[in-house]
Amino acid sequence: MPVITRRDLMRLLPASMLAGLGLSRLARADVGANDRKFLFVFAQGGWDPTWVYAPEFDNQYVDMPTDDSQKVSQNGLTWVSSTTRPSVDAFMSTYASRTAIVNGLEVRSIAHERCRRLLFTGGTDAEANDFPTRLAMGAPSHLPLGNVVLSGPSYSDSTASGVVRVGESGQLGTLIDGSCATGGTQTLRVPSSTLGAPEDAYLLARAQKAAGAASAGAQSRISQAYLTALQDEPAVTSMASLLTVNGQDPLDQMLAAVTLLSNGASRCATVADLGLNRVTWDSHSQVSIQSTHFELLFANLVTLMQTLESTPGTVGATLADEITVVVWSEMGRYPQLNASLGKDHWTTTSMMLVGGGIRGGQVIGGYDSNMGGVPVIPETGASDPDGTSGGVVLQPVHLGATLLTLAGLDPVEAFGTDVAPILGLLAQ
Amino acid sequence: MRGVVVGMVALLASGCAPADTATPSTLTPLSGPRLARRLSIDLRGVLPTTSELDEVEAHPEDINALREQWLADPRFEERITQMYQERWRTAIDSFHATVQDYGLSHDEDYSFNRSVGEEPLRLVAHVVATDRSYADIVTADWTMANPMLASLWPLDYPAGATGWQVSRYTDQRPAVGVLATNGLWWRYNSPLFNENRQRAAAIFDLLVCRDVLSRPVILSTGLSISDSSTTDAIQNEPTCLACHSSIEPVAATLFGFTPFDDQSNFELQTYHPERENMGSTILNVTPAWMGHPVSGLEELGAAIADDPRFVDCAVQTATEGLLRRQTDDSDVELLRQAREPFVNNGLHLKDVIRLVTQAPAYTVGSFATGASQATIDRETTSRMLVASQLRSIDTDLAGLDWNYQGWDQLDNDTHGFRVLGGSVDGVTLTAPQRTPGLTWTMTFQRAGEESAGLIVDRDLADGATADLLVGATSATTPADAAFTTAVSAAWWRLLAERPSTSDVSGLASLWQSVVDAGGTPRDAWTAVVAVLLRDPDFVSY
Ligand code: HEC
Repeated sequence: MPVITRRDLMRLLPASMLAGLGLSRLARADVGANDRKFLFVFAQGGWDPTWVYAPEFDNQYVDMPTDDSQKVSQNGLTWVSSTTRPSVDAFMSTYASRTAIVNGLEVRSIAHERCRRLLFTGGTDAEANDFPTRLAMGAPSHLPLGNVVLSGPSYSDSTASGVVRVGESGQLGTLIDGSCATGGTQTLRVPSSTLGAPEDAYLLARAQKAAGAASAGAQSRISQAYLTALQDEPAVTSMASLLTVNGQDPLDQMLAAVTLLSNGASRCATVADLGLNRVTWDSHSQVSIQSTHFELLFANLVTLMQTLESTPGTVGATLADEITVVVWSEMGRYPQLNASLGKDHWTTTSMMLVGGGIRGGQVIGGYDSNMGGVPVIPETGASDPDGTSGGVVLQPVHLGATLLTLAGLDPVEAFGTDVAPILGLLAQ
Repeated sequence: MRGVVVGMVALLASGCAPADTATPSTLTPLSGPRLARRLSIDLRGVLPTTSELDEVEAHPEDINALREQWLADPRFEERITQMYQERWRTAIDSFHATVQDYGLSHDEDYSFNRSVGEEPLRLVAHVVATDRSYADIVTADWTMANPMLASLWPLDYPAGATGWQVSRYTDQRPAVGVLATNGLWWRYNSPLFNENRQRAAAIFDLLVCRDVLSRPVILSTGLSISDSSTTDAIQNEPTCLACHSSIEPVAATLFGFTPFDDQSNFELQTYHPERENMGSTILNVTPAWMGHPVSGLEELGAAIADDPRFVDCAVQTATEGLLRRQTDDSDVELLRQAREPFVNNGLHLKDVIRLVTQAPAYTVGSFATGASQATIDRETTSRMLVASQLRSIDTDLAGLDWNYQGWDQLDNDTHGFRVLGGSVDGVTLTAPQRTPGLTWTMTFQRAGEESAGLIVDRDLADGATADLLVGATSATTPADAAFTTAVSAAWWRLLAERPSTSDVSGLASLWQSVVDAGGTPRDAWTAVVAVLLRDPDFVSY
């Protein structure tokens, strides 16, 4: 079994990055549950785990990549390595100690829209908060941009606050600075800040009065939320420049997210990755494009981790100790190629957790011979193939419970007693 | 909750009474003018006029005459389009075929995508607005088209006409209403190897409110990747059959819409009658609706129209659109009541709308003591306006036309603020927002400021007959009686409430603060109107 040597690593990694390696291994200060922040990177369309996470070379019924792909194990991680995906190797070998791979995650649907909801909320309820929203609302203090959605899906109910979408082309920034219609046929009238101030003050007073006078229920929810939003406006306005990101570039968005997370503006951020040329990961034909999708994604993740490891944290040694990066996709792909050399939908998939609070250097779960999920014992993360030791097939909701636990929130309150967090994924 | 409720309504229709229903007596209705405002927004997408407000203030019972008038208003059709968009989600920003594919200019992007996506919604809205039988939405031999669609697709759009018109496809597609619209099938398309299953699932969801996907699908337990083909499993494995036994027979009727080449406009836009029979061969099933065999798509439409669940789903969709919440078990009685005139008088959806808009669950403005916590949590005493409503209201009040490169900014997500303003995009946001958030607030602020500027320009122009700032001129200041008259008129029109003295003096001091901060009287007037257009009582209804 080939093992990546340090020399390989030197070849794969840019020098600037190696320089940063020392810093990241410094003693990590105690990062408390309240300090945890989360970045969700969502590969939209359903990725094919066989290009990276699922080296199922021994399963003759699984169509593995036909390039020079091979199974590689190092520092507790096992992955599919190929010279066409150097960034995957670079990432895995450099950040193994911070990275956990989860295989055999059962999403329980095959329709994109449904899978996305299941992945983000853990269920099918049309009015449930997703994990990022729950985490943001559970923050020790209210954050105006608690859950910032730079791109990708987001689900929240009528009580959610602090959920902010930046828009597909970063249009929130233009809304804030008032340039939202320039370039078109008109320029909006926006009062100067001096003339706008009396308006804002008047409105805040009106909203306060309305919230105070509202009758219970919907009226109170709406007026209270309006008041909160008006109160949050100045804070968000002051961050306008951070919110004016390129809506099409996942790396720009990830880095903007890091800034928002690290300066305390947000607790969660979501970024969608649509793959090469934004064709999405829904490869019903020519699934080999996923090789490129993964290479681009991991190149971005390498840059992301470089940034996280080279930036001092608020309480942790670096941001990589405070921010947990969740890299996931709404479904997997049918193990065999179809007639167009693509792969159709499949309900099990893989995901990756990197950084703060994660017990790295491990692969949790797995695929059985039928590409179903292998049960996992939540307390330890150990596999329990015949399910006799209390193992469960992992579902997104278990991930949600795990993230909530990491953030010091009560998973039982959110998902009931039947859903155990996967403590085996967490450090300590 | 969907599906459960439908089941219960069917139960009630068969004569069984529910054990537990809501107690409407704890619901206190809105004042007459505020109720008129809610109704006008829901039925016309605009605020009531001043004289309409005066009328219901003096004679609350006149709301019934106004309801009839508004149901007949041309804007009602537009509202139904918007209401169905929230549930059917066909008006998305991009489809597989693009303006470039059709050789159109980039400026037509918005018009192209909206025209395609609205086609099925406009068909439903036209059926409803013109008092046709709701069954027509799955049996009509016509669709709705505008000049854009007419320029793209094989349609006999009336020569020289403008706007949305009844039209017919000329490619021999069956008479099945929305089930024969390109718009529906471009939105719910059938990617390679999907074999029209996504489309079948959409038919269940949209037309009979049956969400096939609410049950878990776990492929690895029903399908052995080593020996069986997917088709075998779908037909033999009980776990797969649970859904696919109903999906496949419907999917089998839709192969006339299967393109052989998804890069070809012709293939995508044209109905292919000769492919109809491919479905039963490929899927190896007899086409059927809920176990009753049908000969093809045309009979499928008729079978759906005859299904009591189709009627229940229509009632549920309209009720949820009007109450702006999901229905649940406690709404069973209301749904049953709304169903009755609908089924008895020729399936006019307006009958459902009439009944629901008079129900306590619709008119509720607050709770009487004794209301249960469940009632308080559920009932929508207030509703938040969303971008689509703001758009029609501000357009009506101020002539707001907020666009960017041809895109209506309150109606798109590519550049604009539809989702940021609380509406659905249909893809990543599938239910309208119910409570304000930051981006919603900012969207309303920008639209409000722009509209205020337009209103002030119009109303304070020399010699203008003011529509909103009645009696004011550019020389009017808070010291003048005309100030009180003008802001009181605006407050009444915009909020459907009479301002108190302190409300008026609050606006007067705002006016003064703007001038003190260096603004012109025009700036001050603009601020006054802008805050009214962002008032807590304006942005909710
Ligand atoms: C809960 C209902 C349900 C169950 C159970 C179910 N399916 Fe499906 N299936 C659907 C729906 C709905 C679709 C269409 C979804 C879409 O494309 O949006 C679908 C689509 C499919 C497709 C087309 C997928 C594609 O890539 O486009 C295949 C193949 C399929 N199902 C196979 C199976 C097999 C095999 C089983 C049993 C192991 C199964 N399904 C169980 C509801 C179900």
